Amino acid sequence: MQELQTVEKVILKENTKMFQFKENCRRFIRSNPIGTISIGFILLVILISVLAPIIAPYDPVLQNRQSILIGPNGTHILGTDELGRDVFSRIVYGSRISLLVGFSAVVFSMIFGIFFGVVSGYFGGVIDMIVQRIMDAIMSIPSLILALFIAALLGPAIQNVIIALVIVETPRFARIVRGEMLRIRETNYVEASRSIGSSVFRIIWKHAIPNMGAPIIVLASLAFGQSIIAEASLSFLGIGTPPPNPSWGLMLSDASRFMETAPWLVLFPGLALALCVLAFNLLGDALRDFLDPKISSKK
Amino acid sequence: MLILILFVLAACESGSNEPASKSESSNKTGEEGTPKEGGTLSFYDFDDPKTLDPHKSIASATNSRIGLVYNKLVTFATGPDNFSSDEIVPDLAKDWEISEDGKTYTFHLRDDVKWQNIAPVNGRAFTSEDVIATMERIKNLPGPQANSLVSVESIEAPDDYTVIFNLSEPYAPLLNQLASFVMWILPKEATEGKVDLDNTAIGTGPFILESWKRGVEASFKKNPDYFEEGKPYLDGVTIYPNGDSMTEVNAFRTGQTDVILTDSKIDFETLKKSVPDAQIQSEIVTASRLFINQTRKPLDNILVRQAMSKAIDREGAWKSIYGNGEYNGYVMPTLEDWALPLDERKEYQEYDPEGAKELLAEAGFPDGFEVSMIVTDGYGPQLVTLAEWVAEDLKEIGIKVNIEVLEYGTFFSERWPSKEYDIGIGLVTPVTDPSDSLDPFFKSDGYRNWQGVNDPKLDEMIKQQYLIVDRDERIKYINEIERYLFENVTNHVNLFAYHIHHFKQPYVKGFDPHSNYGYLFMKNVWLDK
Repeated sequence: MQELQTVEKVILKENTKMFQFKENCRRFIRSNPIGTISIGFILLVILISVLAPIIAPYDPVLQNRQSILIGPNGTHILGTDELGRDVFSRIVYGSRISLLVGFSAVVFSMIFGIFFGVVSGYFGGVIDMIVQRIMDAIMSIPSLILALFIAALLGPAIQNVIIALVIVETPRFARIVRGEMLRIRETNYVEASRSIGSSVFRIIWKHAIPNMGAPIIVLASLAFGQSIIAEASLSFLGIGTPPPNPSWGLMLSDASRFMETAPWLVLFPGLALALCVLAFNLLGDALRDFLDPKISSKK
Repeated sequence: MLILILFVLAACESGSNEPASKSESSNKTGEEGTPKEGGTLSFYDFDDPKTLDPHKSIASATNSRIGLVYNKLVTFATGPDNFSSDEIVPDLAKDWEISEDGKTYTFHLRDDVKWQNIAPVNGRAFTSEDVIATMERIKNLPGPQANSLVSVESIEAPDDYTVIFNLSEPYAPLLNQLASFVMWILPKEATEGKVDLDNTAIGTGPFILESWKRGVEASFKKNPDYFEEGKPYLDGVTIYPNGDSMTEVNAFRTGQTDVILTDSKIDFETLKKSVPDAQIQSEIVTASRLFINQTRKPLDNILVRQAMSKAIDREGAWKSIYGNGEYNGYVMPTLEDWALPLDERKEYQEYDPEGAKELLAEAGFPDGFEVSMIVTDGYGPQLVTLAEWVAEDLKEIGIKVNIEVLEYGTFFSERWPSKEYDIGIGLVTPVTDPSDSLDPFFKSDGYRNWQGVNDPKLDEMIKQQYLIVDRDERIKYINEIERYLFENVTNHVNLFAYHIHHFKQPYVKGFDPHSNYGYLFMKNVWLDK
């Protein structure tokens, strides 16, 4: 009997959560058409990157040496580059690298950021001082320059780009999480939980983190876009993704030489990059408006 | 494309230099009208060097800055058809004698040469003391340039304007090396440490180094006391350190620079279209190669290296990346008389992926293996494209290549010399004596043997060729060494030689490049405007 009750409870909980989620989605779509389009576009990019082998007509590193620097046509819908590689296939596969870098950088910097932010905000005092001054130090250096420095130090490889971006992005998460933590620490429910003897870990895990979701999601969305553009910048400068991998930044860097003779080489990867980053930024804005009623009402 | 081919052919023809007589080379301005004085020539060159000290760096960048300031005892003839000439002409020495046995060289110096009027030298006369002091410095400083003087036992100066080199054994390339860019003659004061050679230069040459701002420009002004009557014609020269290729192309297009040098097919086409009246001169100057670290397995196996060589579609690569090219040998075709005939070079390096696979199977790797490849973008983006091309060719026979693009300093000063690589793509420096392209790279103790070549028989052959003073005999022997390298060493693997294009504004006259660094011809340049 007891068991059945528990199961029922769980189902009920699931249902309400599901219901809530659906209700939220409906509200979001209604109030944020631009955000909805952004989500649609991002889902499309994710779909493309997952299905890359099916969508791309050619191997992205295959050199079709009979057709070098050919403009968009029937066989190569976006043309070929200086080694005869199919630009469309490279853009399709390039989305994998962009999303991989963006996703890894955001997830890891989120994990580290939450850890440092929570520790710093909950315990305060000397720990807070030390952690926050380190974060200040990292944030005082312009992020792209710092990423440049770290990536150049580690050598050109995708994982090194991710490491560099995680180091750059972590303080931003840590800063926001700390602020939230300071607020939550003083709330009545945390006070109540503490007074019945909950452990620190339980308070943080059960009460603090679930309640700071909104700002983290907004920041993650913005950081995703920034990470994609940072990867492209580093690859453009030759210290990101090594060739012949089809990174958008690398494609742009190669293409810059052919701007006058083969403009399609710079146009299409540039467009892909711009749209992708724009989508993430617009989504970030939309989420912020949606999750923070104070800001949206001001508008 | 047709135009390009014709153009390449024409360029090849102009490369076949007949030794021009001295009077011709110094008086070649006749066909271009009477030289006008004045004006400043400006152009982009290699990146700024670490030092201007000629004996500390063999970097092209150092020599391109100081070549205008210094002179050598002897130099190479320059002129319209003399790009790779190895003909020696007087510079600070007005003439010279070589003894019968090839062991004594006597140089008679010009007596009308003055140092540039800068403290602490203050325009005093140039004498044999300066030559001796410079040669001592070269011998005593560590570095590749000391190699050239290894067989020189002593140098004496019986009077102010005579210098005698005494050799322990005949050394065929001595004159050639004295004419080459490491042998700039410094004032005695500089060798005593009274001049900051890293940052300044005081010489006897046609131009005075007015200022050198790192990363900005090196500017030179006319030396009024230069010993050749009426020269130089220019009032000054400005050299900018290299920017990215778009910047350089645009600067030339808008007339901000007077000369531009490029090896890129795409820049070539852009420039030809946008500056139709520019003078174009294309010369085979440089070549690329695949160097292999044979201290690592399985690259120590010659069959593997030969398979790599056969796997590369050289003709395809040069056509699509550079738009021109030529099969290269271990002695570059710039040294026309010394290089192997083209047919033979081609035979050794024919594209044969099937044969490559067989060789690889014979070596015990029928399924191939994986290697990493280092390359730098410091020479421009073409080399990275070439690396991608070669990687694809090697993949075709089963060798998977992971490309690592390094910053120039790391590439050239760390990873390559310390043999921290499997294979790599680099360039070949043009030289004026064939021994310079053999000794440093392939002798087991060669100063640029960064591939781990270790072949006692080859060492002996390289030593032998120095002793052959007769030119024709030596050419034959050098050819033999080259064949031996192709058949028994195959490291590095030559890729191909290709053109560098000089574009000159229509009013630039007398700008006739020579493959030896240092703008030896700058005193003859004038502007017709």
